[in-house]
Amino acid sequence: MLQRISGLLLIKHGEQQQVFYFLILFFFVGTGMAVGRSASEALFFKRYGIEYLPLMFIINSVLLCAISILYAAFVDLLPSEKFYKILFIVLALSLLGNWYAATFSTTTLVYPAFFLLYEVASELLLIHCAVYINQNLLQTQSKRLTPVILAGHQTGVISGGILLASTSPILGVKNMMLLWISLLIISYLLIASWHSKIGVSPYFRSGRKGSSKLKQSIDQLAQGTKLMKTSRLLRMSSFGLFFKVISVYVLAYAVNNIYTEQFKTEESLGSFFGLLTAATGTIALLLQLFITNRLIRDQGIKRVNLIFPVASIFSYCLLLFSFALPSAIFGSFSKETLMPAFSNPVRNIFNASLPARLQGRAQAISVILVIPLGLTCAGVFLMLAQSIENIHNFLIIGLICSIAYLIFNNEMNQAYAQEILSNLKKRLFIPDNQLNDILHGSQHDAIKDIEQGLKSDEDEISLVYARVLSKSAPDRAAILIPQRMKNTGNAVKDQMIKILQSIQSADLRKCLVQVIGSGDTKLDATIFKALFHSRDIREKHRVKALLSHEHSRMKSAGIYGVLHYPVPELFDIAIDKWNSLLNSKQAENYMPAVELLVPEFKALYLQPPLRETVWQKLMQMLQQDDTQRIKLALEILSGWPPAHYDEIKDQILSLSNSSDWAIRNACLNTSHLLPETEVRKLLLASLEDQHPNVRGTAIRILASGQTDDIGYIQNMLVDKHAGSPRSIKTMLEYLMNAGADAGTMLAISLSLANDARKLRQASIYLKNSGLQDSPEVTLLSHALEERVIDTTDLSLFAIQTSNHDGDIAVIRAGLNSNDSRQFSNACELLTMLNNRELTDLILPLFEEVYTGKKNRHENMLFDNISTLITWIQNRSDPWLSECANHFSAILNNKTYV
Amino acid sequence: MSDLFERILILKNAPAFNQVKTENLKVVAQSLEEETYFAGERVFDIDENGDSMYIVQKGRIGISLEKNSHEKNTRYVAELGEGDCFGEMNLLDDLPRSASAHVIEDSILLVLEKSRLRGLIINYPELSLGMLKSLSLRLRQANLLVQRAKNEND
Repeated sequence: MLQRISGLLLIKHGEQQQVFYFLILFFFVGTGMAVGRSASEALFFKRYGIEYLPLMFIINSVLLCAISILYAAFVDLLPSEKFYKILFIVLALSLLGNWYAATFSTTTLVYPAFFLLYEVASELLLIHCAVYINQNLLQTQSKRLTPVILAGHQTGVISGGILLASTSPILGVKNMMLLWISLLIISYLLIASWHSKIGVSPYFRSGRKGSSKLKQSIDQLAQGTKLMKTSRLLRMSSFGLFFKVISVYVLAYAVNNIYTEQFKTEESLGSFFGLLTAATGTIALLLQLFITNRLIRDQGIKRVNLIFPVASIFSYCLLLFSFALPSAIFGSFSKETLMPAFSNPVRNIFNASLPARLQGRAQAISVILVIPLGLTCAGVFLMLAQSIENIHNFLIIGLICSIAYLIFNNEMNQAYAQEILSNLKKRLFIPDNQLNDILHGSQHDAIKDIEQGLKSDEDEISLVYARVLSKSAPDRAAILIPQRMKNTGNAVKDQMIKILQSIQSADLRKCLVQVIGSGDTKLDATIFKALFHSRDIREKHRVKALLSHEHSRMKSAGIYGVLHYPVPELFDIAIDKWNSLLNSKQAENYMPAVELLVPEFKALYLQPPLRETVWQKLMQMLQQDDTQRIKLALEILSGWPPAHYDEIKDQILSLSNSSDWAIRNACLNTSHLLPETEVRKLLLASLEDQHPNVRGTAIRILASGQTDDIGYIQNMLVDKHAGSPRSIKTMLEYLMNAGADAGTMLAISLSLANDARKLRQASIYLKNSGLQDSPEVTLLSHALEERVIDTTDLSLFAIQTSNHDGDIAVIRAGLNSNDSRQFSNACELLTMLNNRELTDLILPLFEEVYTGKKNRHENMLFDNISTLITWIQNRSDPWLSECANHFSAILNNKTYV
Repeated sequence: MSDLFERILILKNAPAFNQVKTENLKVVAQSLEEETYFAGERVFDIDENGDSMYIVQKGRIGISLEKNSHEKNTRYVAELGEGDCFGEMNLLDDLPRSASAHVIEDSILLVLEKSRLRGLIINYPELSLGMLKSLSLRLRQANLLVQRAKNEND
């Protein structure tokens, strides 16, 4: 039964106790407020006069402002429960003083004082309620449970109304103050008892502490005002609130005028207020319990945000049409039911989308500035209206304010998504943005950092930075690398010269000539090659001598010079020397010759007499244990003309299983030398490679063989559900780079989301299979859950570059952040995606996986474990299949091999 | 359950690897070496330079903060059993051991060498992402504890 009620109210397992506490607490707070309100109004209207109501609004605004400054000073510093306790004590003592004055003195001023006390207290109690809830619940919880929790308050309001209607004629309206005091004491005890059990509110973040509270209040006000300038959501929400206050208070004045006129005695008015409160409260409660959260879920928070402004406009239209009891009752219905049922919960959710540290300040700004200002304006408008002949003119002002309220709420809706997005962007790492920053915005700083790295005392570190600098700022590299070269060892110097050679610096020759003759032949050979590379005519004379040099590296530099300048008269000699070096069995002889097998000389080495020698040498190198030589051989073979060579097939296939990703990658680049059937097998297997570069190469080669590469990959993704998440991601990246259109990507995204749902079903089925304690089930469950998350994430990734301007990247980062607040913000953004079908598929999946919540009942795809296993085995996902095979083998009591 | 799959699950429960996907844990599981220790021995001593992480496959290990203490007088700050993992921080930092590990009962430990893990990370970059996620999660948990303690003191 309890579970059924919990399910009906969207309360999850483990939340019941907390929700029950909130319900009871806000029940007593609500009862007290209903009693206080009806009593204060009845006493004020009958013993003091409703004509003073506008004046009360103005005084109320000043009081609210002053008290709110104190609120702002404390709200972020104290845990919200401590603040509530202080509030209850101060309010109870003030009420006691008020009751004493009303009973034992003759002054009528006690009634406006009671009226004002209620107004100030009710504002503080309600506003702090939002802060208290946000400090105890996550945003996803808050969105779901706030309506339920506020229903507790509403039940209290109903009880308070009934209590007042039934007891005030007997006890007297003024003695209702004592009843309110009792309810405040109960609320105090409840809070104290709950927090002695759970400690401080879990999401309380302490604000800054300083010496002066007053200064802090002023600072907070200033910070809040600044926040208003930077946050469009807060700005729109504040304007909306300002017009809402005027609209609500003008409406209150209108309907109370009608009621005071209609009910002649204090008791009858008090009883009516009690009954009205109970009736409107009941309707509000039913709305909160059964409508609000479902309406927010189904229609979205933005539409729900517009309900109360529209109802306010309608109330004013009715009052303008007929200034009588029925119109007044509808006005009260709008104010007392639709406002608490829709406007307040939605406002709490909007507030929760602001950065947590600033939520208290934002609330304080509302109470200190916006509400008092609205109240003052309402009071002034009404006083002005009282002075003119047709007193109903004030209804026009109310109507205009209601329309303004509607407009600003609509603006607030637009700002809401933007606020969450920008908050997430500030907190999460978004790779593309970061990359853009480096490449565009802060390039100057990045280059400075790289230059600093080049100056590092560690040669190896310096070399890495030299490579980066040569690509990002070649001009700077041409100046700085030669400077750094002066203090490096010969090996690093050698590498740096190769870097300088690639950037074609004008000063290169001067720098290189200075280094020649260091005694290191390898370094000298590199220098000569670099000099020849620039075809510097002043160095051409060295070529002939080098060709006859006894050292193979110097000889290869000479060969390079002859071929590169070129020096036609020495061509034959150079080819002969090259061939002779390649034929050598000593690595120190043939390696310099192999290094000359660059694309520039391809036409030469693919012709006799070199071709056969090169081929044999490369075959030899592939069989060696030296990974550098293997990589070099594979790199050269990648430029070999396409054909099928039997003698190389086994070697390449064997190397394609190497633990070195660069070798696996190089093997793929030589796949054009393999038979067609082997190529496809190798490429498909490589799509599952652990290294992204290997997968990238595989998909590039696979797609390059197709006339319609995009269609081919789309077919693999949608129809064949190809592979594991890593291979799917590789294919998606290819499609993005190839410029696949938004429609294609959306179709793939939906297909992936559907697949993720099926995987989730498989996971749930497995968990409910009664085999929970089995390690095989645990492993398969882990693997399935990982696949659900990955596949769901990929369905979002698929539309990342389509048309959402990077918003999807932010949502994905938020969903994968492991931070519950960022997660719930990302979920909120997900609900605002234009594609409802996709949102409906993805959002429940993320919520289910991360919060453990089961969203809806579905028909299961699987009849038994065996159909589930078969389904997994039929997917082309190697790891999932491996887990399923293992599970199946254990189930069938076989030994797993 | 087969040895490899059993090891994957053990790793999945270890704090240093619990955010690494099972698929990526396969290569780590394949790199684990089995070592046997006898009661009374020490796996390592406090302040020693360490280069391995250990997972208890069988037996019992005691962790103490004392150096060169006699076994009988040793006070253990933790006792580890099957599936528990120790020495994992040493995989990523080069600081000396912060505690001593004593073999209370004859034990079989699965050992992962630091250099081996580094090689795996270079060749299987997704592994390091999972490990970073695990570390980040532990850091967050530690931050939360500090924050709560601070709030309670306030």
